[in-house]
Amino acid sequence: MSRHPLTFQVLAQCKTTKAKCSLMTLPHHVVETPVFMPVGTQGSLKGIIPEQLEQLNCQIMLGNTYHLGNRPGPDLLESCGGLHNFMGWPRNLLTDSGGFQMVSLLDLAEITEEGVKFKSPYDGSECLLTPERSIEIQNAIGADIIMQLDDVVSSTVSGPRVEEAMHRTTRWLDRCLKAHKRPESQNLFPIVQGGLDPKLRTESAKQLMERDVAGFAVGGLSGGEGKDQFWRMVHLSTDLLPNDKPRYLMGVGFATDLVVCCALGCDMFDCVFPTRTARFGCALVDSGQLNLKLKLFGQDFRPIDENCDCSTCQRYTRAYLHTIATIETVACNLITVHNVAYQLRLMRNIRESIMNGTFVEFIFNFMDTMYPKKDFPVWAMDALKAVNVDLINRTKQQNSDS
Amino acid sequence: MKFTVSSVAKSTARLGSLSEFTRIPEAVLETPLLLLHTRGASVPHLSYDLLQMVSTESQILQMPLVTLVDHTKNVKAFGKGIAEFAGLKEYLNYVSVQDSGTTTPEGYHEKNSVSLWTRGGRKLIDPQTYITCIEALKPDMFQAMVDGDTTSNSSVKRVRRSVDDTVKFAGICANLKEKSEVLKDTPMLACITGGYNIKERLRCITELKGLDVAGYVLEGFHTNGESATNLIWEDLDPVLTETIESLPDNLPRAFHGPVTPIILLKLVSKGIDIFDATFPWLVAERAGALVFPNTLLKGNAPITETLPSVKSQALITPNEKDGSLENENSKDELVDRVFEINIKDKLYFNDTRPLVEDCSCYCCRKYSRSYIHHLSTTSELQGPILLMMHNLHHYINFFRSIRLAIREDQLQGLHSTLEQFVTSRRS
Ligand SMILES: [Zn+2]
Ligand SMILES: [Zn+2]
Repeated sequence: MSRHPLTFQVLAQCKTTKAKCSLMTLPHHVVETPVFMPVGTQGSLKGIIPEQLEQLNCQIMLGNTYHLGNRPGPDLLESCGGLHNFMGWPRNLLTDSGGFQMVSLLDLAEITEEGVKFKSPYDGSECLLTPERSIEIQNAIGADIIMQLDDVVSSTVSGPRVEEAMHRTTRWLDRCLKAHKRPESQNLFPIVQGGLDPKLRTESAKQLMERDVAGFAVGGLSGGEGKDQFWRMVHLSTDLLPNDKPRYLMGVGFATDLVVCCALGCDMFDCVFPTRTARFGCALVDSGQLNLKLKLFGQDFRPIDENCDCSTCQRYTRAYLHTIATIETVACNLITVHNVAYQLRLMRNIRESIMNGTFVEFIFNFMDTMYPKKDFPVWAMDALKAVNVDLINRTKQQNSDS
Repeated sequence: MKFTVSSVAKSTARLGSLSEFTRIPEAVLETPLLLLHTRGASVPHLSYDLLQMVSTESQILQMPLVTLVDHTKNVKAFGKGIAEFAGLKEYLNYVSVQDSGTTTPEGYHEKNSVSLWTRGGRKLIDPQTYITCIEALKPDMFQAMVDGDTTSNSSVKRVRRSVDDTVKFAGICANLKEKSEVLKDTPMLACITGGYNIKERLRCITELKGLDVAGYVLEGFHTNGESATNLIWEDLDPVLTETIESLPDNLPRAFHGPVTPIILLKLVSKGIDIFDATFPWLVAERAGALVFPNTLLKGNAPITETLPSVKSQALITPNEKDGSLENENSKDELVDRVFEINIKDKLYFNDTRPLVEDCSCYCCRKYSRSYIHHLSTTSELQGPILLMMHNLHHYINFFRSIRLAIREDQLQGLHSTLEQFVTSRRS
């Protein structure tokens, strides 16, 4: 038995790609992977209540350490028994380290060996987020999985800064591990860095794997780099990281990206996109998304998706949602329910096809529906080819698969 | 639709029921009745699933045309009416002209029409167009078109004009309804206007005689929204008494708008039967949670917590004419928050108690004031959802208590409980 509060049991491995289906058991609930984790930034998934997330069979959601550390703050969270209690969410939580928000939200963040120095957007005072402080806050929040503070460099930066950040990330991991006060109930994940440099990424993964951790995150991607570089770095990282521990690809959540990155061997994903786009009146469907604000939906009396079993599609039409989208908050609730249902169903279908040994077929069907004109993105074709799935020349493919 | 008065208390408050609606014949709604206010045909912040968590009983939704008029074309194309269009076919609905929860701008009058202030701006609507919209919406009950643009400050000329228009509109609406295949059997409520002028109110009633109507709405006492929370009972009382005495006993009487709970009880005791849930909504919108006593106390009053005191409105109401009070703080103070707690107050930052100690609503069973404070200060959408769930639950129970109090001749007791609560909070 693992001494971490996490067990990871691989149930099925795709024979063609690196995809696998597993059960990850955490203190608050079992998680079926590959999994998509909706983001509840400030201790609430915008516009819906935890009961609705449970009904959708969501098993794990995200909280943001930076925001929660500011409001309501670690002291209050600790005094009321952690975020699970505070927000009434009985299932798993994962928190990020706060570093990413700091660097992306605050222009004036300055990174030193000690930590991230920044001006508080609330009162302008000078603050310092160290690895120790990040873990202290995350210990107070009490999520089932917590993340190390990493030295985040924009993926478009190259040169010595990337190497410095990679090494610093390892040093900070050691400080995080040392500061971690609740290893018996919270799993600390390190984050593979190294920018878009294969050598640095390899070195980063190697260093982190020498530490005793329950799973790994792949970071520093999906921040503006080309998709061609993105998939190569994911592919490389999953080749290096052990198959018997969960691999979490941070900040990825578009449907195509999820399918491709599952094939590349990632197990966990998060992204604000599905819930954010819902607030702007956009509903996710197999062929992309519907902007329900558009006039053409004014007399479209079908549900968002006829095959969706979510409570929104069972009751509400596109035409009605068109009348209230972005006007009444009810629309946000209804479209968010559907979009989360869409993401979770996509992941369920991926898992089922891996279990049945039909994942490759699933990829073909998915891509054909998403790109009916067969104008598949080049990066996705290349990435899938790297794991033996040829979108263009399929007969050969399917023969070798069976 | 059938209205039955089952008992009249000494105070002239009455118990009754609405039933036999064509679309949902089994529904029986007891009066005094709370209509659930909607915007865009949904209860604000609450989808069907969330509304069901508040109440699974029969309800009538109040659907203001002003929030729907931009979409009647699509509802018409749909063909099955607004209830099914909005995914709420299990609920009865009643279409009103204006949104009683939102202030209607005063003074926009054109011949033979009323102004609807939609998101797209001002829309003039005449009785013919109005009935066309109602035909598309196919409600279970609707309000006749009305010019209710009067307050206690209106000139005699304005009051007279509002009665003239209202009577004319009602006549045209009744006539068109009679000829309409769709609306023939739909109950229509006529409106009594006349501001605070008894003579004009009585004239309105007289001139509406002979019209086939299912009930009456008393309009023209305020211009909706916040203005309905500032009613002065001494001004209202004599007008209301004479008006109601002249109305037939066998028809229901409605009063729209977010009146405060004490005024509401007074209206009930005058014999008003139908109200709307705009007050709990307005309170939720300003991050308030209703905390006033909503049940009839039996025996000794339970020990309740000491709530932060709230200044009397009389002391803070500014001179509206000079248009002062620009900054937000003073604007906040314009509103009397004596029936609620302001959950945004720092006081609640680490308050682990529920909004109301023994409240059985979803929000109070599950969440602390501290969490709702957090949601409100971070502007999370779940904040108004939870507040709306609690406030609506609190108000639905208030109406249950009102009916019980009438049945047991305890309305005065409920009234004094509220008065005591207000007094204790003013200190
Ligand atoms: Zn759906
Ligand atoms: Zn409650």
